[in-house]
Amino acid sequence: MCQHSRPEGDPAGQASGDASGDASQKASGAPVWRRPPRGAQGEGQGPAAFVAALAALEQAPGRRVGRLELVAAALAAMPALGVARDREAYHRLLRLLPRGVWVPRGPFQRLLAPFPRQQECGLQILEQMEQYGVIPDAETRFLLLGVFGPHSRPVRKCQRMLYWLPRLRHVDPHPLPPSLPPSGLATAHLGLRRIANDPDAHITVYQRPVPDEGDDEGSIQPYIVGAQSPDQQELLARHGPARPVFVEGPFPLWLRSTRLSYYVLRGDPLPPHLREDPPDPERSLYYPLHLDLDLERGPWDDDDFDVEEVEEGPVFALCIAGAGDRHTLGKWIAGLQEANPVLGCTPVVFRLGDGEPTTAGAPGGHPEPRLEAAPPRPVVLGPPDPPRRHGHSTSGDTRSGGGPGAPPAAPGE
Amino acid sequence: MALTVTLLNSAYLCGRCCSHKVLHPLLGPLLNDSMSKLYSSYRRPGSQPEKKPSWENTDFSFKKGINFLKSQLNMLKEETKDYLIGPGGYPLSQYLLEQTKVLWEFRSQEDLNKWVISSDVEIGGKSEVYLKLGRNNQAALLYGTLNTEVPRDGETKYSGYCSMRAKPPVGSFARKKYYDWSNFNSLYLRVRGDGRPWMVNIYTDPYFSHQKDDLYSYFMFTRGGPYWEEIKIPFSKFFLSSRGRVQDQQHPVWLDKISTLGFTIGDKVDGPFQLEIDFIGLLNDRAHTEEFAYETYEKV
Repeated sequence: MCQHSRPEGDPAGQASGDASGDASQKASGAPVWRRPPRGAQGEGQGPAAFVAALAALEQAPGRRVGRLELVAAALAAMPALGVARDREAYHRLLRLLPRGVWVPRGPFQRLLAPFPRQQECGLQILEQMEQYGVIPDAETRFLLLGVFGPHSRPVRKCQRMLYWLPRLRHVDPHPLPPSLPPSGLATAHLGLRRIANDPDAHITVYQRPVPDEGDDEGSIQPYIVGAQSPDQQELLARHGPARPVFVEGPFPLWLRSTRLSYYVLRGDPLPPHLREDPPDPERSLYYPLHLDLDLERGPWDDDDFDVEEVEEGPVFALCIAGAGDRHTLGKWIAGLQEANPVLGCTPVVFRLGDGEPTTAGAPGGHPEPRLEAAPPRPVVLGPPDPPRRHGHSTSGDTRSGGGPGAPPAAPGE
Repeated sequence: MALTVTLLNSAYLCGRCCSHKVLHPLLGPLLNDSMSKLYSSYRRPGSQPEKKPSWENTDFSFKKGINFLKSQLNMLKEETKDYLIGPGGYPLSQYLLEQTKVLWEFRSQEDLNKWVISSDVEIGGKSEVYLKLGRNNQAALLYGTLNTEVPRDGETKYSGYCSMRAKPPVGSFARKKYYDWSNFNSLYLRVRGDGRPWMVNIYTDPYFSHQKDDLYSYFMFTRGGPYWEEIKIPFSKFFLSSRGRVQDQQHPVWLDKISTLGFTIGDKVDGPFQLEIDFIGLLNDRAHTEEFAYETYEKV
């Protein structure tokens, strides 16, 4: 497509030397891909804007100039337009590169490392794909072969990516779903299901967020989601009302790039004499209590590690809340009490701000007081009042542990 | 041809000016510390050039020398005793029959001193990393903040990593020693993370200096939560990489010349991270029969 002779009245290709002669866009003398595409002004959707930006050049390729700068500009704009993880967008970009021109002819030309800048451009495309986790396709390899030829660096890199990325994609033993729900109650639910460690755990929504998005800043009421399994309920019942239980937190939990904070209801480890059940006084005296049979097990069968066990108290329940103050967590405890009546007589100590390591910069410094969490000194509350029954009107039933206006939500699930 | 021109020029200059401050260009590299030019001639842009000659770094005090000699001779005595007991200081029966071994546990400050932490501050980044003992001195807590802001020096493209690496084993008189893990086939880690993925790196002590940047890596995915996780990573899964690039020719890690182990986080997400490590051990997993997870044929 050569465009030597043009009519005088055509203002398109005359202003600058490297105009690509698209007769439809006559706004300025700049090349086609530098002019803003017509439909894309003020368009909200990124992918459509990206397609529109390349559309003019796709329809009328014109002279083969400025392709490397085009690729650099497109790669820089992709994250902002939201197409960085879209393989089709990269294919579209690769189709704009000229085919066959950058392929070295013969082994002697290949020896001299031909078209270095062009090959680096191809490598940049693939490196951005690798950075955003886009796995190339057979079509990507086909496009690269057409542009750079079989023994070129981009094709080699594509082969490497085709070998490693598909097998490293499924390496995560606890994978998250490919698209996470929007942040708020749904993400908290997912997070709790992930850390609960027990498929039998019941996840209960104690309070729905108002407004529904559950944003921290403008929310009137933060969400509270809790998880407790039957084993944990039993442990809590056995823990007894004499010893206090602690609410600790906030601990960080990352779900890809979303950060949640969870709180733990935990108790101190039991003293050794209370750990096992006392021997049944009606046991049979003919058989010993403990039987130490070696049964030909030698050091070749020993799979235990010779290290002291980490002593930690049992975890009774987990919770993720929209806000981390004592008030909100008090509501969680009140909600837990319905399933665990022993919480009514157990003292609950709030140790908030205890889970975070000091982030002030100097290790070993004191944790800075935070606006939303309680001060680090443990504050002992009296045992919370017995929970209100559903449907009863509030007649003089005042609560000291933070009285919500509405009764706690009925356990869902 | 360029070399001959340089030689002619230098010969001419030598004849003309015999100032003793100008060293002969050919003798210059010989008189200077030649090893420093070979291995560490790269200087990060913005860092100060080293003006101290290397002989000024050593302290020539007599008392320190005697103390050093005493401590090293003690170490040599211990090593001889261990050698007489058996391989690695353990009796032969234990070496032949053991199925598990604890390499590093974190119960006191001196256990923490066996590790070195680093972050991308050394290339000009802004991530922070700290290591301290966890609650009740029962685990190590590696925490900090990852910052993926790229340092503005014109040549760095990516940033944001933090790492913790064990110090390599050193024998008496600063001899390099190595670990021998050939009896085992898995790495066992008892950790409690916050959901972020980590990378475990094994550094070996190779014979050839071309291989000095070789490192074998694999991923450690933490789940998060208040419960401890026991992660077993078989050695057959570790892939070979060098200077950050995965190599084409892969081979399984040679377990008899291990130098150090390291943990790195660099998952491109800005924000604080946290990892508690109880202990690191080795396991001979008899159910694991895979020799190597990747193909070893030559990939053209």
